[in-house]
Formats: sequence, C-alpha cells, structure tokens
Amino acid sequence: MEIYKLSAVEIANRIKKGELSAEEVTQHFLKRCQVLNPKLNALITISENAIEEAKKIDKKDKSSLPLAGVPILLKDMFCTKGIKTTAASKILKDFIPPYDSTVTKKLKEAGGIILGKCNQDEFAMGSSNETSFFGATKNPWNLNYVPGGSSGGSAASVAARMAPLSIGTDTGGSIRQPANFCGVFGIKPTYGRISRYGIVAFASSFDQAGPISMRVQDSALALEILCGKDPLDSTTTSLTVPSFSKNLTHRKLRIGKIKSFFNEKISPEIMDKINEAIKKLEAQGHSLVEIEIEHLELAVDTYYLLAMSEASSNLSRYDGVRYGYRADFRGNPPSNLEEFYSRTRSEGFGEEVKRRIALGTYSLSSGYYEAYYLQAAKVRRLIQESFQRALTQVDVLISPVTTTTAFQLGEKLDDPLAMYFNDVFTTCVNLAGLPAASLPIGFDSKGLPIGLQIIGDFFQEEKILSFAHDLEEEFKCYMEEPDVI
Amino acid sequence: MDLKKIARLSRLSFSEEEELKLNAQLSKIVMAFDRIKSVNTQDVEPLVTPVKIEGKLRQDQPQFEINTDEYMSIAPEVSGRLYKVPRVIS
Repeated sequence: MEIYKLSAVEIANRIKKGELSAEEVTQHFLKRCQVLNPKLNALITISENAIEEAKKIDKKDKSSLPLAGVPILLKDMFCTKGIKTTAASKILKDFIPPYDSTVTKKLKEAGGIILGKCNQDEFAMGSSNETSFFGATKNPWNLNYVPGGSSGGSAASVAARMAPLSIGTDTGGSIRQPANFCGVFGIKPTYGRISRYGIVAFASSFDQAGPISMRVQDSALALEILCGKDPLDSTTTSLTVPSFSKNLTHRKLRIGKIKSFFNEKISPEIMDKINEAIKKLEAQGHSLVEIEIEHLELAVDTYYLLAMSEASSNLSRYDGVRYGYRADFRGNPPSNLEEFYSRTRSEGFGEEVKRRIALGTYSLSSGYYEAYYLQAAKVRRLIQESFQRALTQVDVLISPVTTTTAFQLGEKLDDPLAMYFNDVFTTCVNLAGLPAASLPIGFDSKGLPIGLQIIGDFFQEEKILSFAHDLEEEFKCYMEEPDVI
Repeated sequence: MDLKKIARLSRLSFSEEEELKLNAQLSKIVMAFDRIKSVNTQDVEPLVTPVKIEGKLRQDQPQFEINTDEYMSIAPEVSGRLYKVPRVIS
C-alpha cells in the first residue's frame, strides 16, 4: 500500500501502532511535494523543519495525539512561527511571523507535522488563485484550468496527494469553491467555531478557517481539534465541540433544495450529477423538499460591499514601518508621510487587492456609507433571517457549489465582475454565518470534478458531516486520482 | 467616482493609466451593486457580526511574553529599539 493513498486517520493510527514512523510518512509526502510542486505551483514554502518535527513525534508517547505524525499543508494565511507567511502578497513576501496562529498551535499540539504553506489568491481575494504574487496554482485534473480560490493551493495539493489534509480559510466560498473544482472535501464551520487569532485578516466578520481533505472523516477529525473557545479571539464560541469524527453515523435528515439555485445557468452535467445524488439520498431514507430563500439574488452584491469595506479597514495596517514590504526610498525620499505610506502600499499590493481597498473605502466614505455599507449590512440581516426560517423546516440545505466546473486559466482574469459572480452560491452562507461543505460527487465529460454544497444550521456541523459521509460512500470519488500524480 | 479622493483616503497612488482602467471597472461594479438599494430595509437592524459575541473577557493577566527584539527584528529598518523611517519632514 502506497502511503499517499492512506487517509489522515489511517496514518495516525498506523503511526500510533508503530507500523509506520512519522519520519517515514513525512519523507514520503515531502518527496511528493518536491516532485509535484513544479507542475502545480500549489505551495509557496516547503518547511525545512518537517523531518526534525517528525523525529520528535517518533520519540514521544503518541497515545494522546490524534494527528500523530500526520503531514499538514497550511494555507499561507496562517501565521507559522519561523516559517514564512506571505498571504501570497508582495507586501508580506519575506514576512516570518514571531508567533503561531491558534490553528497552527492546535495542529502541532495534536501531533501534526506542518509540511509547508499553500499558494492562494493574494490576501484570499479571488476565486481562481490567479491573483497570487507567486503565480497561479494549476488544477491537478487539467493543468490548463484554475484550481478555484482562494484556498486553491490547499485544494490542489490535497487532490494531488501532497498531504492528506490542508487547512484553508473561507470568507465568501474560499474553501468550498476550490474543493469543488479540485474534487476534494472541504468544510467551513459556523462563524465563531475556530479561532481567527494569527490568521491574516481579510474580512473579520466573515473569515473562518476549515479543513480540506480527501476523506470526510479526516476533516471531521481536524474540526474537532480546531474548534473551541480561544481567549485570544473574542468571537469564538464556548459551545461544546462534539466528537465529529466518531459521530459520523447515518441519521435520517430532512433535506431542502434551494429552489432559486437550481436554475438554467447550471451546466446540465452538474444538474444530472446532483439529481443522481438526490436519488441516492432518497434511497438512503432522507426526505427532500424544495425550499424558497428570499433575497439570495442579492448575496453577491451584499457580500462584496461588506467584505471589501472590512478589507479596506483591515489592510490599513500595512504601512511599511513595523513589518512587511517597504518601497525603496533611497535616492528618492518621500515628500511627506502620506507619500511614504502610499508608495509602499501601491507597490506592495496587487491589482485585485487595490481594487477591493478602493471599493471598500468608497462604500465606507462620507456620503456613500448609508447607501452602500449600511444598506448592505441590513440586507445581510434579511438574508440571515431567510436562512433561519428555512432551517426550521429542514436539517440541511443542498445546492450546486458553482454554475460550471473549473474554468480555464486567464478566462475571467480581466473581468472582475464575472469573477465575483462565480461566488453566487457560496457567499450567502458567509453572510449568514452558517456552516457549509463541498463534497465531490463526480466528474464532467472533460474529467473535471463536480461537487455538492451542503449547508447546515448554526453549530450543526455534525449533520453536514454525517450526510457527507453517507454520500461519500455512494460516489467514492476519493478512489479517483488525477493523471498528474 | 472621485478616484483621487478614494486613493488619498486609502493611502494608495495610481498612475494615470491605472486610474483610467480602475475608474471604468469600479463604475461597472458599483452600478451592478446598486441593486441592493431596491430592497426595503426600513426598521431592519444592520447585521455586523453573524453570531452573538459572548463578550466574556479573560483575566487581565499576562498570558505570554513578547520578546521585543524578536518583534523588532522583522521591521524593514530599526535604530536600537526604535522603528526607523526615511525623513518625511523638511
């Protein structure tokens, strides 16, 4: 059995039993990263300490380490002490954080090995990974196609079996959309489940970390390690964290199809696959109803206005003084403080990031605040209330993740609005703060993956996971491997 | 959109060519987003965070020590324990 075919849960179990060593597993995946990364550009940094860390795990008592020796790739949004954390931006290209994010810390404490840092859209702003300062990641199923974004490097690396597990972030669909495009499982838990401490901030009332893996059980295990109250993030909840990975048992659920999301814009191949999934769900004893959710047609507009506003505020910290990039002023000094900031920021941020800062600043500026930011925040409440009403009638909601499978590199790069509307089914979930996942259910005629979005009620990740686990066994997409590997 | 004002507020600067491109893109985006104005939101409270914040504060005790030298070492330029910037006043 090749090690890369094992799930994270199986790897940890074998290491605990002494059938494999953490060092041997780490070597195996490191080699895969070194061979595959030149083709995929899925990683920005490969850790130099991974083998040393694995050796330490091998010497430890592993009985209480749920992720003993499991190699993990982190999106480059998570601060990693001593390992470069760039957010795929020039402004942070040489930034080595002096501390770990809570997510990084918890993974290490659970025995996980940080193998490296994944490529992504700059500051997680993008749906294709093409805004990265380090160049676009490629989709392992077809190298001419995008992996999705913003956690594109995470999804691509898991699909290419460069690690069994990656942690991404999801602000408007950034875990689910790339998981969908790359044929892997990804889940964004309820806002407040996982600490945002030490995650590069994009839009703080939306940002939420979550796992990406080949197998549902691996994400369930990662979730139960990562969720929980953190004194360093006041938005985290003190609710009990269930043993997600042990509670994947079948339960009969009431499932709602979001009516307006099943429309003529969906590619027929995606529609066919979802209908096949629905038949399988009914055969498993779940009941299905169509459900109307109001105001969803405004989700993209509402989301972008609010997320850009929050981003324009969050990104004001990049001033070229305390850390990060500074423009070269030798021989050409700034005439005033404003110019010192603006030259550094204009050189350090990429085009899409500047576009969002400008729009966010506009939406928050005097004379426009009421019409844009405030109105969007009110529509956000209406959308959340619509979801809450729907979720009194059903346990979970389903929909496509995107209208099409992955698009070609460069296809939408010059049309920001078309890129934003790619997030038409995912942003509503972040507006409401709900948990949601993308589960692979098949492939189109071009061999590109198709996923299903599963949305749950607040803090009901268990239902999403048990549902996804049931369906995973029906489709067994995890058995398929892209040719590139 | 007054892009010069936006650039000043957001501490960004754009070349004329960038400004031209950006103006066209931003106008198109703002026009599309104008749809949200059509929703009646009278008496609707704005939603600023999706989940209730518990508001429990931790004890005001130091949790860990920040090593000043370590944090200063990642700055572009320092002078002793001070951050150094180019001269910005004449």
